[in-house]
Amino acid sequence: VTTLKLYVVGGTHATDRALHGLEALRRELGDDASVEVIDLRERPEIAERERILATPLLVRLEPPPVRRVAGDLSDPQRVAWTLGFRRGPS
Amino acid sequence: VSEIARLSPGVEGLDIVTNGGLPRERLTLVAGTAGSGKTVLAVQFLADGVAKGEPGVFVTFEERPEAIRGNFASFGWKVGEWEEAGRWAFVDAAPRFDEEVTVSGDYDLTSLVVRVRHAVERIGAKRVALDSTGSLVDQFENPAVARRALFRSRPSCRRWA
Repeated sequence: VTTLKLYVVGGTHATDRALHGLEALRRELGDDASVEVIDLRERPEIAERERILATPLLVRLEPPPVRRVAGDLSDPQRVAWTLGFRRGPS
Repeated sequence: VSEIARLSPGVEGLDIVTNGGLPRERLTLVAGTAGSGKTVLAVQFLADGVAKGEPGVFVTFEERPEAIRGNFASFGWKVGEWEEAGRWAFVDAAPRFDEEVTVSGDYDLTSLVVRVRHAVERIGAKRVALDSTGSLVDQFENPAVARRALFRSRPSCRRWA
């Protein structure tokens, strides 16, 4: 099972693009993925606890190790590689 | 010409050269080379506030909070105790080199503004110190992103004050 968390701050254009990218990832992973979106404006204590500076921030919690991608996820290949979902020619 | 209200952070020499201290309810940028005492002044500024019943938020982009708690104990500044008493709060934005972050596309540092505001509201802070802006800029490949975040947090600081 893959656990992903996407941290955003409000509905910026970067947030919209990141949500779009997350949706594509979810489709790819199918039922194996648990995905949560957290708006840090509503949960500022989480921003501090997780020491989040750059958003949007996608974190893969499971399987370990923890992986982090900051940005609007506009480079799917880079995102897939970082999160360990290899794509394209293998 | 009306005088700007001044606030003495408790450094005698600095009061003299700044004509009475730092401008109250304003932002002051402290420039200096490494080792010139920027961090000491920032901690002094907040410690002075604690002594006067004005809680403070210390935003650290360089040293870890535990280092600051320990390093200033010899000054008689009990940062850890002040935290427990709700008179001091850290926003820990020091880089963690074991936490690699890959970048894909646009991002911004609004989360930092959210964190500072949360800390200010939590303890009712009257003073905020950021140490240092240069270290924040150095953390990101694109320094313009960091500059923009600092610039944007400026009006927020005013409002919170």
